[in-house]
Amino acid sequence: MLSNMESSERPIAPSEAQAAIADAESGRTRLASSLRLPSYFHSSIGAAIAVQIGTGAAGVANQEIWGMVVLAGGLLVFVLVAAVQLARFRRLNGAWVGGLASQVLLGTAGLASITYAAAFGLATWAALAGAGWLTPIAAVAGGGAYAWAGRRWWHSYQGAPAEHSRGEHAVVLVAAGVLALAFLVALVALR
Amino acid sequence: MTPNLDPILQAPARLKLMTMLTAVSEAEFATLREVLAVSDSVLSKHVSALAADKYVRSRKGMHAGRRTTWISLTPVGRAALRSHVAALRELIAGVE
Repeated sequence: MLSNMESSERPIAPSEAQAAIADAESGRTRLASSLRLPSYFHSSIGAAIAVQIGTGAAGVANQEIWGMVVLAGGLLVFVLVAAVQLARFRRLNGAWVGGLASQVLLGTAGLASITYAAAFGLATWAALAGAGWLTPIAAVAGGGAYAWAGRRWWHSYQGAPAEHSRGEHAVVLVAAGVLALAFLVALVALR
Repeated sequence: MTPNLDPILQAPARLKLMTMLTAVSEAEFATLREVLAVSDSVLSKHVSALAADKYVRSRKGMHAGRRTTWISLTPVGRAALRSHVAALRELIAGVE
């Protein structure tokens, strides 16, 4: 059994080359298709994002101690949900997909970033302008859109795993974090 | 002209293993063994050979409460795989 699997330097016929590529690609497809998301994955991430947007907006609008506590609490909820879901994914599949962490959980997928920024901006504006009723609506809409973007990314990943498996480079993540922080500072300064 | 095939990746199981690793950032030994449908010793041998040439990285870790080995593709391995697959495609294109 081993003999045909060990490396050799004999010439390869084109038909063998074709079969080798087809077999390798089918293995990759099989591996990607066998990966399963933990139960309530997208809904829990969407709910955690909704909580984070709502508490974040409330915290920015009310810069007293309790406002900062609410803001930090919402962030903590999201970090905990994300960490638990990633650990469950790893345990369930015996595999780690960097793209899942950065695209679905950190929202680096274009659609997730845009919808998150829009929902957070609207929720914060509403909280600052005294239209408090709009904040939870924007938060829930943002969470829903974020979950939908994650579901969309997962389908793209299963269709073309090699193109979507890798996570964002650390520089991109740091840049996103700095931009988010600058956005928050600007919101507070413009209050 | 003969395309520049990588002798380390000429074994179909190694090509398949490396290609599978492009779908994930890291995979557990047993997960790869199941999809490849080979024995522990065969997979272990291929992983050792690929790790010796720095095509893959293997590290000990935990999975479901037991000690296991996690395997990932290195940048060197990714580049070698890309070049080998391009050479195979060139070979196929030569007869079409």
